[in-house]
Amino acid sequence: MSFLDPLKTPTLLTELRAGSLHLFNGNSGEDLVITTDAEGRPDAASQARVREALLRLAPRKPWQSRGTLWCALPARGVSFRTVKIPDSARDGLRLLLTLQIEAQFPVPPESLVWGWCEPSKSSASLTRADGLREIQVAALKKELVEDYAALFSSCGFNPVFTIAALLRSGPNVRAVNSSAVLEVGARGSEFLARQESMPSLVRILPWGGEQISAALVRDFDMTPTEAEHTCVRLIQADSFTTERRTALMASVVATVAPLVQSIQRLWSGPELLVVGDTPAALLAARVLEESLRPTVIMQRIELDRAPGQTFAVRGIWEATKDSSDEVPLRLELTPTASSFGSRRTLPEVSWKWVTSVAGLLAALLLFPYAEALVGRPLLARRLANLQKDYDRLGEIDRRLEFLQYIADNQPPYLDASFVIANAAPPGARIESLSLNRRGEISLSGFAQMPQQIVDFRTKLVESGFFSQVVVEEQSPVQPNQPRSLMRITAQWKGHAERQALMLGPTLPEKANTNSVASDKEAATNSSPTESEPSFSNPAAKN
Amino acid sequence: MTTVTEREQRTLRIAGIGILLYLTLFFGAKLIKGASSLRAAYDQQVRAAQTLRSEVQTYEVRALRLQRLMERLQLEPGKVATNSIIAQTSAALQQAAVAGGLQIGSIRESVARSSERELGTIQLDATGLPVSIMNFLARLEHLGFPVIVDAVQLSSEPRGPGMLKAHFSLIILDFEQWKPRKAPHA
Repeated sequence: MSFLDPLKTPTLLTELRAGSLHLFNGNSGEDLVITTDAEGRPDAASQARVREALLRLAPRKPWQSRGTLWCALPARGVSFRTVKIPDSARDGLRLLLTLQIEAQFPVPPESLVWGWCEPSKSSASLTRADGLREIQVAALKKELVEDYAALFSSCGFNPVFTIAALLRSGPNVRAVNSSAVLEVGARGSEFLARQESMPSLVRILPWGGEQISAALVRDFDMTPTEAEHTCVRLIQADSFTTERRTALMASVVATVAPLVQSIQRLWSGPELLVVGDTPAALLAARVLEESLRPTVIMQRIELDRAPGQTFAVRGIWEATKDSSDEVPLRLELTPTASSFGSRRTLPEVSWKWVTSVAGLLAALLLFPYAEALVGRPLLARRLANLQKDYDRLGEIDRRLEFLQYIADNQPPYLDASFVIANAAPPGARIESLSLNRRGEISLSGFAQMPQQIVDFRTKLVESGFFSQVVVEEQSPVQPNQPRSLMRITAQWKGHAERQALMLGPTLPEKANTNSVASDKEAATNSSPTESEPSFSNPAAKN
Repeated sequence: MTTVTEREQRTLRIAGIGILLYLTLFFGAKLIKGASSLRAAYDQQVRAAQTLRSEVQTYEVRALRLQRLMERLQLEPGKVATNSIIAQTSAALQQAAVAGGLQIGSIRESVARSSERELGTIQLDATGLPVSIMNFLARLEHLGFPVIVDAVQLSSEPRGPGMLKAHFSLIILDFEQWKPRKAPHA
């Protein structure tokens, strides 16, 4: 048992006979008597019995969708026609068949319940030499079934009709190309002939098993009960004396003779299957075996049939078990407002898909929460690792700030010395030079001429390195001599402004140094670098 | 034994369904509330992790800058020992001066106040050629110790032609005074 079983829709198998309805749900069954009114419709009492039986055998839960009710119909009113359609017409098969039915049946397709079947794939006659395909169409008037269709539909079932005669033969007979099935009933018999595995003829024969009992009553002055007992005893081997048995069987043979003649008129095939559930059917089968030689008579007689389990019902059961659908022919009943009222048949719900969709929706809704539940410990671990890294980043900041402070606060003593040395006038002597981190420069010395001090100051200012240059003192060393004493203070510019200056010696271009001497000179001039600038010794210049 | 009528069975069935619905709604609401708070906490954690990751990624540039500065200054702050840094710096200064051709004069060391970023100062007198003095000044930046030259005084040396007398005043920085920055998420 699957957990989906409560969701499955109920399925019921029935066979409708003249005067009875047989129901089976797979486990238990019932045989109901059906009485009809003057128009052949089931009367109110029969309808009530059917409803109650359906509720008993296939109760439908409120959450379940409409069930399926397979109903095998009697052969009354059923006609078979063989229609030929082009083999390529696969997609528009139904439309083509409708046109063929309109041409071959006296009643329009809208007034018919019809279905079709094709030969099995293994059959050689699937496609003829002329490229046409033969399809067997069965049809009957809609009014014969629409009352039952409405009744079943009102009980919550989607009815599916088929023909009982097609389902009575077991698998042994269905494999034979040409065969026939005779179902011996109490008041009538149904005869179905097959040609090349396809149903070709169906007839209701006016002969039933009750005629044997009636003959025994008439010929041997028995009561009906005694006649029935006699039928039962006749099928047993040593129940009568030879004379008595011969007399009784002569009466039986004479009674079965019309049936034999009817079958001989209809059919002359190699095999005939006799189906029935009464002793009279068994007696008829024995008489037919003697009368129809060389036709092989097979018997499928069950005297102790379980309620509801007719041969047709069991045929549907075999064809539909394990969710397969091998019913040989299914009659389609187009619902109309007049026949079904306002109630429409609903399609069956595939609970497998419903469950899948519900599962996917649930997964969609629950995924964010499941992600939080599962991913939170992992995320916490990763967050802790990131936090550990982040704590180390503080140390990077600390070291970076420390080294940046050192780099930014290294005074440009070499640059300042370079600028002063380049600006110093020839012949000048610098006695002292003082520089500090705040950019204050103080120098003192001598110049050969007063004008040189002015030029010296001008060069210092034009170098762009200093923001202010002050000549604090300029005085002649001795009266009437040009040599002058000088004391100059200066302040270098800020770091950003100094960065824009191009300090240091420029390298000569190679194109201008085409001689060895000039190369050597250039090499000598270009030796100082920014990191190690040449410092013009003020004292050496003097 | 008392038999339960069909009407009573129906009443019991409806009551059972009602109780089941109530329990489902009651505990379902609690479950949804708990799950929502769990999800909200998870989202907050995800946002915090993303912020932290983006901040950590910005430090790649800072780490590169730190690496370049360490190579340029030839100084690794983590390896500077505070208790012996003045002695080590003094020794390195003298070694650099002698290697550059300077004659070392007087050396004076002093310890700064602990509240400042300076660990101490060193004052150094030396005599030598201008080129040697300039080379010494250039090498001070790559000495491998946190040294800043506070002041330089150059004057002529009467003892020899072309010789200069130099006085250097150096500040030794205290790395311990640079406090580590607190992480915002710590």
